Amino acid sequence: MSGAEIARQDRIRELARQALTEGKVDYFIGWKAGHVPSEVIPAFVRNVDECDMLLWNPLCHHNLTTFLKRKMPDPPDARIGVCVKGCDSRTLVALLQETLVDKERLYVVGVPCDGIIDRRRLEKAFSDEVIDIAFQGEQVVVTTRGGETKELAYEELLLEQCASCDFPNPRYYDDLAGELLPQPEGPPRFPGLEEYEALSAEEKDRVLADAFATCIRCFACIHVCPVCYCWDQCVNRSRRPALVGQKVAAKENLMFQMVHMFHVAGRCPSCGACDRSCPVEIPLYLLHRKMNKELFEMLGFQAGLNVEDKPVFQTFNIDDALGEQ
Amino acid sequence: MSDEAVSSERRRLTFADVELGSSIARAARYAGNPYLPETATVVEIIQETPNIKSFRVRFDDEQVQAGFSFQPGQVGQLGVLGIGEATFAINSSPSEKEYLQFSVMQAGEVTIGLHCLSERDKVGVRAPMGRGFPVEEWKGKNLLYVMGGIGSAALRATILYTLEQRAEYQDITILYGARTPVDLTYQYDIDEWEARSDINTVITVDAPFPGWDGRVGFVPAVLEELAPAPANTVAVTCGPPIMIKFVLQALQKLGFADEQVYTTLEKRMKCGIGICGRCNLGPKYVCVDGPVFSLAELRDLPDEL
Amino acid sequence: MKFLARDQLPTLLADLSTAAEVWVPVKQQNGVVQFDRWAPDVDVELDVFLARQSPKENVFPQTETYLEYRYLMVCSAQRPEFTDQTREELRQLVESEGGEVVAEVPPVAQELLLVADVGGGSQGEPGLGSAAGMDDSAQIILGLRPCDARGLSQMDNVFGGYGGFYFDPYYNVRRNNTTIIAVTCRTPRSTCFCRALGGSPAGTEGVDVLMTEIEGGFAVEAVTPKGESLVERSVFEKAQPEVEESAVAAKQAAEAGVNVPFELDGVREGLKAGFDSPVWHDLAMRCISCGTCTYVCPSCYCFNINDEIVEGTGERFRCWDNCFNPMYTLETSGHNPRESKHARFRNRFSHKFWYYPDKYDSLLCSGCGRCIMYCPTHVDIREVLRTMSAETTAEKGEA
Repeated sequence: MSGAEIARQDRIRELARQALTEGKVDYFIGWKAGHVPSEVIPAFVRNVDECDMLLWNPLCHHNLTTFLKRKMPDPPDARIGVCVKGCDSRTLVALLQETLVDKERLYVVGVPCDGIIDRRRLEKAFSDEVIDIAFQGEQVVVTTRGGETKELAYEELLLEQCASCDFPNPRYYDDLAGELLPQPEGPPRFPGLEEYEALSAEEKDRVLADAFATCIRCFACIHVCPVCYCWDQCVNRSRRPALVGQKVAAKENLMFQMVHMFHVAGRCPSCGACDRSCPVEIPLYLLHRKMNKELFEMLGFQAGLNVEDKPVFQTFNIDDALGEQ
Repeated sequence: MSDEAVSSERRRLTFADVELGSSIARAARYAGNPYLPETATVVEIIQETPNIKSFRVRFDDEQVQAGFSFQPGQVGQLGVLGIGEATFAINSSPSEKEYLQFSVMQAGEVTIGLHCLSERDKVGVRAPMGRGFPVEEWKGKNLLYVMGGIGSAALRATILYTLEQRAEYQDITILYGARTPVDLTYQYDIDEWEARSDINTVITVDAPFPGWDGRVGFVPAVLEELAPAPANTVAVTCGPPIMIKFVLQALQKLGFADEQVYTTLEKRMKCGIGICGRCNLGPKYVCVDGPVFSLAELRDLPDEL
Repeated sequence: MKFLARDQLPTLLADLSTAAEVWVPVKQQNGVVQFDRWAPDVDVELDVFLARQSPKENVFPQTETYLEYRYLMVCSAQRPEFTDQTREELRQLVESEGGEVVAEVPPVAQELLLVADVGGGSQGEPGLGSAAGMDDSAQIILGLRPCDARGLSQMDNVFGGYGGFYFDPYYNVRRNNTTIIAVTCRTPRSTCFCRALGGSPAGTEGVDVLMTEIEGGFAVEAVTPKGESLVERSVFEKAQPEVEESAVAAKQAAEAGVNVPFELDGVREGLKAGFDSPVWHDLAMRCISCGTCTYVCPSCYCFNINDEIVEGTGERFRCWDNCFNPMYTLETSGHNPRESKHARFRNRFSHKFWYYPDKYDSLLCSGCGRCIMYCPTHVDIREVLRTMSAETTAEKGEA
């Protein structure tokens, strides 16, 4: 692990300790090691002496903003400290823009991020269980349960979205864990869509139908989504109104995902939490990243950049390129 | 756990068991398929209150109608194809052979659907389900019925049954309250009960109402005023949760033991046969182990009402 | 015991598929292994430690139709002339067309629908679905692990009316026509805990035939009479003594790979004693209340029943549901007995280790560990059970 990352981790622990000691927050949400060292999970720290379990490394993929949304805080009026990466902060900004979380009850620690590892891709490279992932400079040392060890290059293991990250720095924070990273130049990038975009309309239909035929409707994508705030009253499974079919079949599944996509459009910065949480590995980014690309090209809009901005669907600009161009 | 001796009943059933119909209660004519409703026709609709209607339905299959019997307190699933089913108490008398009556308050999707029905329309019925009141055990005792609003629907069959068997029971008291006189269900019963000298009928409404010269007061308060003696008495209560809460407190104050108090519970139900999992109260399913529980039984269960 | 040479596996599958539909673990396009129909061009994936989902869907489909109905007529209730008289005319019209009005759907969606032709489910003959109208085609599932088979056996109690409860014909028709050929685990993972629940990577509960991978092929044991007749096939060779020895060694090696992360004794008591414990709030903190754990679980079985109408036909069907769904227990009045996340969270573990055991004398968990692996936040059932066991100890300490 690089010096910068160790410094960030130390700073997260320090800020958490401070916030808890000062009574600024009831609990602090960060990341910690899971059931095996290769797995990192959300950590909820209530006591100062637990702060040392907080971690920062390229496995901290969870977007912790989801634990701030409606009906998640426990108790409901808890004052919460939370760590956000660049992409996570954009979902928080989206919630703040619509005053869906109370700024006054939040203490936000921004964490500059060099990129998160695509653990799923990494796992597929091994037949045995990956139980440890260690970071040594630019190398990632992977150990399996059977004792096999392999060194891989960090750069090659990054999530597709991280390899072309436009916002490595948090867009909103009270305190920063570590130095800000250089801000990339140029227009936003929407990786991984080329293949899909090259398809004919019929082929696109087929690709989506095939992908969503495997959906098991577990709703992980919706519940894990930080900007999907009507999650416990979701129209996708409401019977009143009964707008979306409850049968698990390709057509109904796609419909349900489309509803999700349209409903979070304008708030979703493609943080990828839905994609990573899907137990059957449906490429959900296809929908959300594509939607964001369209929003950028049509309206010049990117979700969750500044708290003061108005959400895209609450504004109208005569120059917006809508419809046929 | 698996080492525990398994009694003869503690086993899985087979198709043979079901076809014989020996050991299980069945809710459908077609042996062993408890999910399928029996078609029935609405023969009469009674507008009980502005938002409560009673439906009298008769099974289309005469044999089913003739063979139908139930325990007071048992429930049934009443449904409309295309909309769905919901659980309601069967509130006609068990001795009524011409029809089954269900009372429905307009609230959700299914109940709105039911309220749109007219006479001669078809419904699906799965009944009877669950466990009724132990009316045989109560013989020789005083009965105290305490009910509010639509809660009367859950107790009506039991009241009618015990009135038919009047000689088997000691004093019978019916305390029934609603928000306004307009919200009192079963006016035809009330008239009859009030005319009878062998039962004590007390009707109350929450607040004064134009034209109402009867009693005014909340059910729990009226209950405390009546102060029935707990000796050899069974109290049966049903109504809105908040009323039940205060009625139970009042009964406790009056000296009723948990074993003397019965209620009937409502939960969201789907299958109605103890499989789909949602109506549990700890290890008990309201649909098969209830809906009737004594307060003593409820005290042993997790508080997830 | 019999022996099946590795290269004879396709022969066996081809042979089996003449009499039944054969399901095996197959690597999908995206690399996820799921149970799928076997065909000669399908590669059986036996190297993966567990398929992503158990084959519970083969006996308990995620969506299953109970009833189908067809509308003979749809009429908008918004039309001013829509009266009881027009209803009557419509009824007569349907009857004169030779249809029977079986049910009339009132105008919730501003439409009056006259329904006829009620059939017994998508597989069914017309007539309110007797068992004969259900899917009774034979199927053989090969390649599931013993924990998955045990999960099926646990569901058998629920749908099989154990203890005098109701018997589910849809499930049982399928289950009776299903043969289970399990394969002993070769590489258990750190998340496996079957042994803590009295199971084993070579367990035989719910299994008809158990195959254990050894050098050059499989040691094959019939467990049930159904299994006995299956291993009569000529593709199975008589096992030499060393086959048995290798099988024992393979099973022992697998056993050694499975952790025992908690003591089962005391779990049920702990859950009872700790029902109101504030520790549930802490345990549920990172749960996002989705249904992944229950949908990848080999024994979670809760479901919902819905009616849906599309273009003149309607269906009543059941589909998987789960106790984490906030709408699962939501009542019409708006009241929800399990409104908060921790109450829903508590229900799953209590169901598996307290409610179900009380009702069915066994457990509703086989220790496959999928819920730990595929939970988006890796909520760990082992941690929950350990914590709750300690609740009894704590109570005892106070007493």
